[in-house]
Amino acid sequence: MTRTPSLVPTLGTPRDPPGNDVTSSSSPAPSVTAEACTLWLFEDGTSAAPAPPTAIACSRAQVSHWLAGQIPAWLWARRTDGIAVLRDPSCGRELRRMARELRDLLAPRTAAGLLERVADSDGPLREALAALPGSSAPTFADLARSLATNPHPEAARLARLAWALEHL
Amino acid sequence: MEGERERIAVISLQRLGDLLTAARITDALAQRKTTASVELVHWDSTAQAAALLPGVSARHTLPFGALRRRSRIHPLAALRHLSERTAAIIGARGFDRVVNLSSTRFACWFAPTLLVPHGTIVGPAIDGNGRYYASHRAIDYLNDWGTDPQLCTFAHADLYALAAGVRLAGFAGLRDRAGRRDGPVVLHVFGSERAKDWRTPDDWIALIHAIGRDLGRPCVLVGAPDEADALSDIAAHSGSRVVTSPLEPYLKLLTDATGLISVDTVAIHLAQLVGTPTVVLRQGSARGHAFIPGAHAICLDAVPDPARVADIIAVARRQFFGGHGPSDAPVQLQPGVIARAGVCDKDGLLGLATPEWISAGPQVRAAQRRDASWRAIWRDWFAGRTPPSDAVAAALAGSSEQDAARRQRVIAGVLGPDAAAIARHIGSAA
Repeated sequence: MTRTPSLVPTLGTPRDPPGNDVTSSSSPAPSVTAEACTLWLFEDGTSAAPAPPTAIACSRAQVSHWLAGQIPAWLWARRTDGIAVLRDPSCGRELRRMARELRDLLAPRTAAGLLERVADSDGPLREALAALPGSSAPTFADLARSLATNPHPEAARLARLAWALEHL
Repeated sequence: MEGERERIAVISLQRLGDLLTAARITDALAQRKTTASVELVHWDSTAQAAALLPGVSARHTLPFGALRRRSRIHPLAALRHLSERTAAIIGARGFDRVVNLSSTRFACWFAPTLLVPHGTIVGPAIDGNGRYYASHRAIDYLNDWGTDPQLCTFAHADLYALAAGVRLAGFAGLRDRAGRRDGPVVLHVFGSERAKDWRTPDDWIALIHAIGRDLGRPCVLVGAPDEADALSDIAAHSGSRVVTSPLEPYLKLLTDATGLISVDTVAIHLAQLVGTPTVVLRQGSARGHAFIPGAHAICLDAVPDPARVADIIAVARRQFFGGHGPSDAPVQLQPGVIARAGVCDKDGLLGLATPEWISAGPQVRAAQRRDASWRAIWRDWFAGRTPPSDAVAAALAGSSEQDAARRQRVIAGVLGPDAAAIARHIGSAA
């Protein structure tokens, strides 16, 4: 896909997590499809076979390592683009808890969490998110309304796309 | 604009069959001297149909499923991707004209984002204040009137083409059949909705035997790959063969076929593009009345039971072989069976009418005349003319009480200020 500068930078760029304690491990091949990065969590000693075809299989031990603050840079960098955290439905309670924790860490839905992801940008999206209550989980409609009040040249176009997604 | 030439986007964020009906629009737009390029925007799941549209210089996909999945992660995941895709579609500059063929709110919000400043939007859209607007009265009609099977109906594709300023009668189809109609009869057994399927596998087996016996043609069963086993069971008991292929080879098969008998709308639209005579078997809530397949098809509906083999054979014989078949006498269908053929009026608008070769009572013929008068009224309105109030009054007077009430409501909604004058006329006539 070709990135066109006029729109993309307004959405912010991925950045490293705070501190330097991230384990650098090799990144899986970048996704060439429209699918977001998908993690599939499974219990150690079981098969990851039920995972969706494009998902990255993650054992419980790996997830535990990540939650201890060792999230690799390649994964952290994909947060703005979106990371889906799925788990084997037959997994135990502890892995379910870890899935929730990882989801909150990598894919928070609150305005504050989303704002953190675009903090480096100076585009209308950062201002639109900043205008929303930090603890709220904004919908596309919330984003669109907030963008509609922004004078930035790209704000109107982003607001339109947000409204479109509200009705997808 | 490149000089005086326009870069045009045609948005067809619809299903496979609907997208196929855009062929006339892309073909006509590409042939205009003022057109620099025609580019199609469609869902990624309809790439096969998009590849068949004529006159298209670039095809851009939007990932429906992936956007839905991204939306579930968080809003930025979907918005970021849609924004990138939109930017890639726009390229260095936007489109001078965007023709939106989709009435969904997604498409109505999305369509204007592709425009250059002061570009032209054709079809339905939503303005910056969230207000719906249509560029043409035909689109208003479509959204206000809908497809009530008891009332006058136009094909959606016609209304969109009219709104796009496309000459409706100018499309000759995708391929020249060159007079060949000696291939097999193609049967499309399963539709996308099981509730609309025609009868049971045993009935299909009986139909295939009857086609071989009475029409002298072999049969080919066509369907999706996941229907192969069910189709093979029917083929094994009927001496037919099964084909599960992409749309392009399917189009070739239909081009050479004697005819198509189908419950599936994609197959029906595909056949219309190459002029293959078609018998449409429709069930479901609208019972086919609101489905306008094209000028080469006849809809066979039965209320309340599905059509019978004998009726299908009688109609297929006439539809496939015309007046040169074994019988030129009027076809007598069993009570409860309704047959209406696709027709194309002088303006190129498609409709449905009971053919002369079907025995039909005076009530059916009278309903057809009323339908024709309503179509004339709406055509006036599409063209920006106020329909003659005496014609509206006469048409209303000819409707049943229930239909007349609904039509008056729609007239009031669609015609707006014009409705007052018409209502006065109706009142004085009464």
